[in-house]
Amino acid sequence: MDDAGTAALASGASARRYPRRTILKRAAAIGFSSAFIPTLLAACGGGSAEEATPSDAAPGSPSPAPGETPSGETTGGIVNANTTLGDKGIGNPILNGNDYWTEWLVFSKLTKYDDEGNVLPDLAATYEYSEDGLTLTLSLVDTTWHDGEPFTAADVLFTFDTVSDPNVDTPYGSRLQVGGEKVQYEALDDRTVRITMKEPFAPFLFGLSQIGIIPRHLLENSADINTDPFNLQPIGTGPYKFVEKQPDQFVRYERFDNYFKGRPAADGWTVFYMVDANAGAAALESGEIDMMFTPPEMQPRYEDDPDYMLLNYVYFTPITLAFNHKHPALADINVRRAIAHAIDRKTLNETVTKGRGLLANNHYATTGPLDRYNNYDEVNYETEYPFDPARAQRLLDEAGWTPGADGIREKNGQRLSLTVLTYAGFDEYKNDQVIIQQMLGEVGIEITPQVLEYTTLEGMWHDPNDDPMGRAMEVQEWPHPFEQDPDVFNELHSSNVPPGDNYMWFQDAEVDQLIDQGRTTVDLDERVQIYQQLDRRRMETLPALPLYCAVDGWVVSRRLGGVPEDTPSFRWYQRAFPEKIYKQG
Amino acid sequence: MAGFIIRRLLWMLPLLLGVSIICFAMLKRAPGDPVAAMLAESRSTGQNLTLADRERLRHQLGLDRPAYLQYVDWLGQVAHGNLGMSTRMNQPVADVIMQRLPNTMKLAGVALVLTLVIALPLGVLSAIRQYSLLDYFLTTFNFIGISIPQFWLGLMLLYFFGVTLGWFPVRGMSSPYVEPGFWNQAKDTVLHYALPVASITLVSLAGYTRYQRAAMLEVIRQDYIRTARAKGLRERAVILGHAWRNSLIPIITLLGYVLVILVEGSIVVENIFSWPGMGQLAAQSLSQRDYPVVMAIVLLSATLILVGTLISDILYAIVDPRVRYD
Repeated sequence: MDDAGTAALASGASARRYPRRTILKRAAAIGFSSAFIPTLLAACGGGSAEEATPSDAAPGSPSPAPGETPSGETTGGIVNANTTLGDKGIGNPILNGNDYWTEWLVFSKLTKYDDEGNVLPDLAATYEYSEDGLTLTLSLVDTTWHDGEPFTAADVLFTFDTVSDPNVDTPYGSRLQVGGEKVQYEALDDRTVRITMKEPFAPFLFGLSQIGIIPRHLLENSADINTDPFNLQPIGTGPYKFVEKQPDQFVRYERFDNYFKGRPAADGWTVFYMVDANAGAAALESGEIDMMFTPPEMQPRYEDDPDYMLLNYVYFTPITLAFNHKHPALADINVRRAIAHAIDRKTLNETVTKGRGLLANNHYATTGPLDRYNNYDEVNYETEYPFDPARAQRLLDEAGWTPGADGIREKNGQRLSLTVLTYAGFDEYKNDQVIIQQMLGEVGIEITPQVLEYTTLEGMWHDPNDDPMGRAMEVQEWPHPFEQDPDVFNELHSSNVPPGDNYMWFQDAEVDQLIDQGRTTVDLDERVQIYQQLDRRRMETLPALPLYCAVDGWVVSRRLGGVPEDTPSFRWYQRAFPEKIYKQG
Repeated sequence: MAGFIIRRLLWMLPLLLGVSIICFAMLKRAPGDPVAAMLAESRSTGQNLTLADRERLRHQLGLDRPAYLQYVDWLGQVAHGNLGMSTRMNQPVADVIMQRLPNTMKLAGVALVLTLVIALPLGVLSAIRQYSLLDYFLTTFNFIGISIPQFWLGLMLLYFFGVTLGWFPVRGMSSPYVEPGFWNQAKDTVLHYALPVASITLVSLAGYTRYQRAAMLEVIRQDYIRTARAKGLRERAVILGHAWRNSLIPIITLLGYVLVILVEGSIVVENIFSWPGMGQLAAQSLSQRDYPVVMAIVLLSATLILVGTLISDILYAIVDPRVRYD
């Protein structure tokens, strides 16, 4: 495996795609310590990207000797976490709606991502693309399932078969498809799997990293995997074994001593179901749980608390003001440009996030694995669309929107009155709406903010007959790339207009072409070039106006060991290295 | 009386049918469906339900059929005793409910018993010593109790007693770390019940105390009470033997709804204290558009209300000989 190949794979790997909402509401930890934030803020003006250093975690690297860390601390203890997702009832990682912690503690993937955005080998000790990018060969570790049965390539094939089965309730069916066709896969021997696809596909490894591997010997004869008792008593290859579950109360896990990466540090984990954020904070403070995802308004309280670490992380893609391109007024690029000039993004960011957010002048966060795709040479929203209300007014005048009697512009009897939608549960978005309403009011655009429940909004998104007049703009992170891969095919490509996921109806031939190219180019340098061109085209055509990157956070009690305070992403750290976290004392 | 009861029971079936139709219609009219909720959930864990997957799921769940056909399917299932599968948890609805129903019944049951044991004597005292200091204090307490939102009270109790003082745990019915042994478990249970029960009781106390007080006040003004005193009975016999029993009539009729209270649970209290009960189930099933579970809960509640009111009416007739049904 040569370095270029590794780098290509590292960049080609895609990552999870999380709407910030769900992350905020759910759990995922990524952290920057509070000391880092001023550094981030200073760096955010579009300076050089922090290079992601290659991960040094090699598969099978020994974890500390039982009972002792390298620094001599005693490991062990039970780590208590919570989940606000609610009881899913299903521990099978390939089924829809499965339990988050069970997926990461009990099961393994072929590859994962570490907290710096690099591909981390998991069950696949090595992976290698052929020269033409059409064949991926994985060599697997030698380990056992929690029940002692050996793990082999047959389990991987079985997992792939299950995921591709149309009768199985799985969201991963499309992960094994490239160019509209299912990939071919075979076991060359007990430890080797070869996957062949019809064209190179950069996000493939990312898709693969989402699939938890399930045991063939326990499920191959199942009458119906969707309702098999295995789902309530799962067995995996991960660092912790499933012990018991009390519905709606908690799930207990205990250490699996024969974990292939070495003896896990803690004796066990207990994850509590706590739907309410206030209740979670109370449990954190009373010591009943040791870590919790914290919404922005709760974070300042933990900033200087000696008993807790506030691990912040920058969300990988900015919150944007997304335009519904089916709306007759917004279909005009000059109106969109006018709106861009009318919004003082710096003030918006400072007011809403109280300085914690990072002003977004590019399409990806300036920290993290996607930063390399930012086109700093040609793309800067601050210089291209500076805050200039006078210019905004001129653009609107030229576009034919002239101020009416009440100050609101009109054209052909239509008032320039637009709705801005967002989903419920986030004060930040509501505040964004109010400020935007005020700023656009200054240039004669009437804004009606609306907050809807997520599922309601989802219904509107995927309705091909949705009325654009009721949904002119949105405040959220559209379009979402994958967290570790820049691909925006699903939400920005014209072939995916509703009922697909391009729910803002954006269509541009050049953007389409660049997206298609970006997906099928595996070579990192070439890919970077393509996305930089795409960046420029997006800035020219304004599908959405980037506002700022949110900074989310996890609060972790200092009772926990094995959590480096300077991890760039606790959210990924806990997924990449759950076996390193333990409770001291 | 028998005819009355039979007629009421016969009416239950069409009423329940009507309730189920209205509920189903409302659920279908509301925007969103289980697959939209699944999409939201799946995104939170980094999967993204593709269009093809969503369509397949909709077809599997029968969501692409006309609403009335979906209702007929559901009705047919229920007629055979099958409440369906929870879309959220991929388990039979009956199982899902039975896992949580006892928890709510326990919580609500303890709170109810405690409420009655405290509220009834206090209400009686308040009535017989009307305008005394005790009465004023209790009346004020009642007003406060009726005005306080339960979620605020719950959170206050949680933070003060659970976090600041650290006397009670802040979540759930039990701790996974309790040592084995009867006394350890008993203590753990009591500690876990304390705060949720307090949140419910302190608020419902107000209502019941007021009812008892009002009923008692009305009764002690009656002529027969004056007669009893004139006969020379001791005050205690008058109050307990005559007045109190008659004042219970409105309370007893209220108790017909006990079944519903025990089963529905308090969404607010269960949410705050992470109590694994029906309230949480109902709230989450609604937000995730888990139709089979919601329909089952509505059906259960409707049945219990109808049965409860029937029992209430029967008790009323038993307790008060003046009441006759024909």
